[in-house]
Amino acid sequence: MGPEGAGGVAQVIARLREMGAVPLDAWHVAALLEMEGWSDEDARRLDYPDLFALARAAYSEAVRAVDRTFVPARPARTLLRRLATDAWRFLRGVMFAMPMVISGWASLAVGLSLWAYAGFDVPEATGIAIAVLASFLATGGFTQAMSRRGLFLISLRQTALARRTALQFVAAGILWAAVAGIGLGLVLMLVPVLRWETIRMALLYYPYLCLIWLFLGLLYMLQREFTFTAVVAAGIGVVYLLVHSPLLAGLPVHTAVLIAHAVGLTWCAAMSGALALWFFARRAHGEAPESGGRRISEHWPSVIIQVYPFFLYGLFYFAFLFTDRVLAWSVPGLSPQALWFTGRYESGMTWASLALLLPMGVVEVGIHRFVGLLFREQPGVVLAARSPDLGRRVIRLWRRLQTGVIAAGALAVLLTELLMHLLVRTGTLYVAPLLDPVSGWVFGWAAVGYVLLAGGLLNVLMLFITNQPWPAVRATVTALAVSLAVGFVASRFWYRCFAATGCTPDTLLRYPQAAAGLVAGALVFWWLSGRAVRRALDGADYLLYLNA
Amino acid sequence: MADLPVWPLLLVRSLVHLLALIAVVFVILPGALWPNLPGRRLSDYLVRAVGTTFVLVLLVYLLDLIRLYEGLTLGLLVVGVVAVPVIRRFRSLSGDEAYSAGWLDLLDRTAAALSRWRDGVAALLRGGGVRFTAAGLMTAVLLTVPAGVAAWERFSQALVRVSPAFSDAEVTMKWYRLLQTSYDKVALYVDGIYPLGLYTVLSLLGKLSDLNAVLMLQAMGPLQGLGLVLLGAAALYVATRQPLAAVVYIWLYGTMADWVPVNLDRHAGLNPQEFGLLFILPVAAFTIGYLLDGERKHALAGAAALGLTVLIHPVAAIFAGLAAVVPALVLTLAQPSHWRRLAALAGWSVAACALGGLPLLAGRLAGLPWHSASLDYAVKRLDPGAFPPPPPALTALALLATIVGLAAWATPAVRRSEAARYAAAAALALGATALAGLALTWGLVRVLPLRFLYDRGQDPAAMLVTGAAGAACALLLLPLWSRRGWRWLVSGLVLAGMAAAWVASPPKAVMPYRVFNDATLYQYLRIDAAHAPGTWGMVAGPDGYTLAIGRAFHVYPHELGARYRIGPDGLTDQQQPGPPVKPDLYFFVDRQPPEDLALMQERANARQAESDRLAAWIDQAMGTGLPLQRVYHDPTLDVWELSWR
Repeated sequence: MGPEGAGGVAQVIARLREMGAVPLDAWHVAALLEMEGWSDEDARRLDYPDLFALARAAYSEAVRAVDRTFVPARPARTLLRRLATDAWRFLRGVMFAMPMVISGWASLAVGLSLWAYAGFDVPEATGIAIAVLASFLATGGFTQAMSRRGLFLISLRQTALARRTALQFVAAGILWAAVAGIGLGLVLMLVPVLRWETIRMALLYYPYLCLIWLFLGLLYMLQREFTFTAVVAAGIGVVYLLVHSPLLAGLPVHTAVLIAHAVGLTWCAAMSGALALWFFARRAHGEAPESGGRRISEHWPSVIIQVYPFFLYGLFYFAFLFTDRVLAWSVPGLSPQALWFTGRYESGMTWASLALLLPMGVVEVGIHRFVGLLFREQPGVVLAARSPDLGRRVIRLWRRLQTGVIAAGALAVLLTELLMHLLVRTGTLYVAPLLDPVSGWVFGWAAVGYVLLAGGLLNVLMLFITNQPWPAVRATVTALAVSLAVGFVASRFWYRCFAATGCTPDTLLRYPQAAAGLVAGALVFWWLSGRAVRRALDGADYLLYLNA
Repeated sequence: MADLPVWPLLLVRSLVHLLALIAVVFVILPGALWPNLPGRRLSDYLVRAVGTTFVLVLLVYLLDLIRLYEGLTLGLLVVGVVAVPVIRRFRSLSGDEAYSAGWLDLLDRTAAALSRWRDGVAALLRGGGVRFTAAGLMTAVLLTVPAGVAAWERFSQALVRVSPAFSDAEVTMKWYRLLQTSYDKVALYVDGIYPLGLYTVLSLLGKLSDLNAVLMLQAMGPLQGLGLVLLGAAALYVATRQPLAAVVYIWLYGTMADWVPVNLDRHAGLNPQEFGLLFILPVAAFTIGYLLDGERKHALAGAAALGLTVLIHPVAAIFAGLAAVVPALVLTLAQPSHWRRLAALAGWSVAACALGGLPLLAGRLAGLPWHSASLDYAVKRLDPGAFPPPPPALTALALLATIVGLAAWATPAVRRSEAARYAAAAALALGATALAGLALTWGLVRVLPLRFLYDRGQDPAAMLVTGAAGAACALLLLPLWSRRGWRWLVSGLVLAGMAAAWVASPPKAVMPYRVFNDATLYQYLRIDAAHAPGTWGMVAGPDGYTLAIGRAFHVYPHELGARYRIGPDGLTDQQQPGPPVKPDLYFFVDRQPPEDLALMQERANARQAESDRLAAWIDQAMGTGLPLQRVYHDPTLDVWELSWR
């Protein structure tokens, strides 16, 4: 559809802004116009000899009046409104970490969560813990890759394609999880280092957990933090109500919990899927039908090449998150099988997860500030080659944000400590980290680790936004290796030093030292990803030009 | 209590499990661990398996020494070894794009591997992926018939008896279980210095399979005996490249114990010497291979196999030394222009032997004594005058093989023929080695009358002679075997010959002596299957101590009252202050010692005394109202249970 009427240059610039494109040169403008269906005839109607002449004129005008034409004006907002916006974003960030916190806290407070139950014996709890770990490893890469691709397509206003692609990712994830599950079962049969009760529970929970991560991943992709938190909370509610309902009253509690978990997890997965489809439909409403009503599909080889760094990041990130736990569960001599879930360790980790909430809020606010800055600066950089000390300004922002994350983390740890003391003093809740040396030790290590992790996540998001996934993958792989090495040495050797000096009366204190691995890994993750961000942002103008 | 499958089924299940694990550890894993040693020929698999075993044995020593011998360490090491080449490759690339290209390359390789796998499966579905030819089938029959007979001879005893063979079983269980379950203390040389090669491998398999020691010994013992036959045959095939050599060896060494002095009883048990013997023919095969083709991997594998025997057993090491030195010298004399290969082989072999001897040296440097029983046996001398000459048939076979090999090698046409060259070299080298083996066992003993050389040297000497005979037969029959029409005739003749020999001297299933009671072991297995390790206790005589390692508490009957107090509140160890513990306790009262124990009167008496003491204690405890319950009874055994639950 070509243009009609006068005011050609202004019309072209307006159209380019609608398209969200910042032109790199006159040829780029011409190409964009051709994509829109413009021709020489249209240019002549606007008093230009051909389309290239029109493009040259439009580009000159764009460069000359870049501030007026392409640089978005700062919205005039009151301080209160800005604060309100930041608070809302902060809350969204907090919500991001909330499902993990809610699950842990539900286990502590009512002894039940979506997959945990205080009445399970240790071999059974170990089975579920293994299922959680295996399911994250099996699906983590898919959820990360899916969300990257989905967000990209949504930003292009290709919601129908985004939905189809996301569902294809979910299907691939289910297939892979099934293959991995069968492989896991075969390995456990060949190397039977776990008891049957453990294997049975692992195989029972693994498929449900894979499904729930993949479907919750859809909501994560759609950036529905409140919704997925609500879904998880409601799922726990379903489990709680079912266990205490007359429906399952005649059954042994153990069986009732198993049924309730199956229903709760299925409900969560189904609800996430249904809500995601509804959000997709709502977002697609009003969009132009794709390619003239024809269903288009992704070219999967290209998609795989684009998203597999994100897949690897997801895989290694979840492996890193669970490394210290696996090292703690496997300290020999503590148990009659190779892996032995310990509630004392988990309790420390659950309390430490509170330290993640505030920093994640700061991360969300920071990311928006970062994107806002880039968004404002990009047209100036691209059109007018204007980048007065941009790198320095962006790095200054990054430093401020990192300081904010660490400060928020410190505050969160302090508040958690206060909360613990309050609960102990009022006798409301048994607070393990204050009353049990193992949980206390784990809480101390893990709280520091989680704050550093939040700082690292801020870096990783910045790298993703500037389209540089590889430094993030490298940081994650290195963090995983460091966490393994340090956690291994700490949990196997360190306690011997204590024992040799007679400092510890309880040799069982060896396994909580695995959490030192989390701190070391998180420190490396934070440092390496931060170094990559600094290097990248030093040439922020070049990056903006590249990503235009 | 959990119902176990009946004994033969339980053994078969364990055997399948163990075979799958062995396939993973010694066939599949080496493929990943040695990416620079690819190849799908039998010799390639052997090279990788030998190299892996050598490394694993040393690794177990090291990990146990630094008290990190646990599954996770092994897993991390494997991941590390597999990941290092990948990481190194990526590090050689620079920049994100190259890094990305590296991953893409990995993706490409994965896709190619998947595609190969898919093609393999498709080929398998189409008809096995193997072209079945009449000649191939005939060879398969020739190999499997004597192998089946050899397997029957060795396995049938394990299918009917729960108890592992020989009194050594107790020591084997003790040493390997202590290694397997040691995580924060060193469990090397617990009874003095002794090469622990077998025990390290068993501990590794035990760690990965979690098989009970009784099942491990009963499955591994005959498997190892059959391995002596099959691995030897594989090595012979590698050396000669003639399946017929393997057939003759399997038949003669594997099934004709009446004709050649094979100690078949020991093939049914699990002893370190026999484990070491597994590597003798591979040493010879790799040495021959290296001297003929100069491929470095064969020299390294030969050296590793030799080093392994040093790690496993002195007798095996002596014969492996012969199997390396004699072929190397003979073939260097036969082709003097390749003397450099001899030098290289010698260098690698000395290095491997030094590595193999390092754990023993370390033990000595740590001030530990040698294992006294072994040392006593090693210096035991033979009665003067009791020196029979070497069996004439064996000597004649070895001589004939050498002559046939020499004659063939001296014929230029044979040396030029790729098919005959290896068989001729193998016949010559193995014949000479067999002669040296006979001289060592029956000759050296006249000068140095050491009992162990004479007693234990006969089996490896027989192995070398039968190997040489196999190579010579294959060489002699090669002109006929290589012609399609004649192969049938040769095959028929060989089959008929084997059958006639079996009629003349029927194969016998062996039945070595035992020191355990079958009922005791089966009841122990039932109880163990029903309890998690460490949650139950066993009150029994000295054999109970071995069985309980890593699975249960063990209390000697004479310690009841003296050290342990058992009352309504639980079990109290009076030497270690603390609250009473309440494991499920099982009391094993022998009513009748195993028949074979009559051979060891002193031991039988000590055992009976402990059993009588236990029976008396139970009578007394019943009187005090302890809730003891008899859960098993037969003419040989009573088992009582005491549970505080």
